[in-house]
Amino acid sequence: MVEHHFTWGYLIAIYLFTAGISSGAGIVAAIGYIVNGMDERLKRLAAYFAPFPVLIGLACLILDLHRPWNFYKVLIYYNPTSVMSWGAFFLLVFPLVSLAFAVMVYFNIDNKLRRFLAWMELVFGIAIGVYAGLLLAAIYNNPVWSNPLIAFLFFISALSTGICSLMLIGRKGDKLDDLVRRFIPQKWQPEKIKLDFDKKLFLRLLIVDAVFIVLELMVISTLLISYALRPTGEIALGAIITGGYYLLFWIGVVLIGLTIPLILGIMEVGGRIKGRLGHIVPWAEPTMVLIGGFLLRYVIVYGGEIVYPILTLYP
Amino acid sequence: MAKKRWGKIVDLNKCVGCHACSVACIAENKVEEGKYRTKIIEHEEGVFPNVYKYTEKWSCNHCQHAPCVDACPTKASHYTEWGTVEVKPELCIGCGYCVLACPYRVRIMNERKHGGLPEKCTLCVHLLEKGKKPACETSCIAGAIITGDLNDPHSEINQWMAKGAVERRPDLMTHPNVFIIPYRR
Repeated sequence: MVEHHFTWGYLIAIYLFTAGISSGAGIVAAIGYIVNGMDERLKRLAAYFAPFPVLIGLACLILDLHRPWNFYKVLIYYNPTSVMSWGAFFLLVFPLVSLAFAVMVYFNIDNKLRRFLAWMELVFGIAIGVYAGLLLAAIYNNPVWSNPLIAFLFFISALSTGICSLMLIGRKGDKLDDLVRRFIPQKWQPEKIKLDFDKKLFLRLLIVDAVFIVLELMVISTLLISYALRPTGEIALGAIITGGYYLLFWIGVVLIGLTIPLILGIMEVGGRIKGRLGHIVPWAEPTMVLIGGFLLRYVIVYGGEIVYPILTLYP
Repeated sequence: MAKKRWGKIVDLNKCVGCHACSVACIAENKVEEGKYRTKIIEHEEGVFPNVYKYTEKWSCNHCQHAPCVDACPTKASHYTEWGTVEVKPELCIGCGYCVLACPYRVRIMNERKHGGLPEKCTLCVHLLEKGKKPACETSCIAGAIITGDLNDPHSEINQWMAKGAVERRPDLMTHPNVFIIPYRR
């Protein structure tokens, strides 16, 4: 009889999800300000939005600790062999960089420092996006987690969910701008810039997101094959696709999170959606991708935990 | 004097699976209710009709290359001067990464109200340093457990080593200080 204690749970899944959104939005903002030609509304909103999801994730991480009063020690004592120690460094730097960058973008301060911060945001955005998966992949004796493709999968999902959350916020960009303006004294307020996304920008984002969804489907199938090729494959697949969390995986991740949004996105871009459905798609597609992105993390985290009791015995 | 390297050997041919070590460990180390630093695992092997069953004491192996020490972000999990692996409570943030990183799954996470430390076998170093024996060895009714200094060629543990003691899961390359003498039918 094995009594089951989950060491990590939904709080870690929320953290992996929110860090992914921040990473995706941060990378979009950084690329927007490094390379010319990106839509002004998109790169502005991405820069404003990037710092906040990861802050929620950090709160979840601290809540998940069993000795939360000691959490600052992870920022003082470093262990170069620990993936988590590197991650703590990335998670310390990214919110600071992206907050500074957002403030500079908001007040239209354009100088060398902002260009430097854009590069920093790109580097640390990629770092926290990849770290989310490496944290799990570094646990080398777990059949579900110890796979480098997890890092790749989480990173692509991070870009996809980041873009989708921007699509959702872009619908209310001006209202959010008005809300922020209430807290800023009149004389400091920058001039108003229209932030609401229009149909054309929205359709472009749908195409980009469709590319990421296709990539994600490819990586998921590669991941499942690479599970199956290992001696522990039966255990890993048993936790994710044939037993354990298989319903969440097939219905939540593959169907609601990837396939249906992909079909809806392609139909919307092709102009095949008319009438009432046309009002639903613009918010339904990104919402479904976000739900799928969270469930993907949830399934992987819990799937890795339920295979552990089997491992205590000899192979 | 040469540096000490505490180690342990469990003879699976003598182990009868009575759980006395688990209970003695809980009494000695005040382990949280419902959790075990050392437990008994039952193995069932063979193909019918030649099947057999034996028991094994399962606890921290005090690896010399420990995945939990590598994983710890604050170096709270560390090697002691006598070769065992322990946790510094003042550095531990209770993230649970060592609990997941341990391939033998011997760490247990305490509840927050009991300190929230990732607890495990300490090889009862506090007793060994006083010249006493660990709680599990004292309580073992079959005499299946021996602890001692692996660096001392005359110690009893090194005589047991010669009987064919092996590492647990050598494929993991963790080089434990705790060995077993495999069950022979």
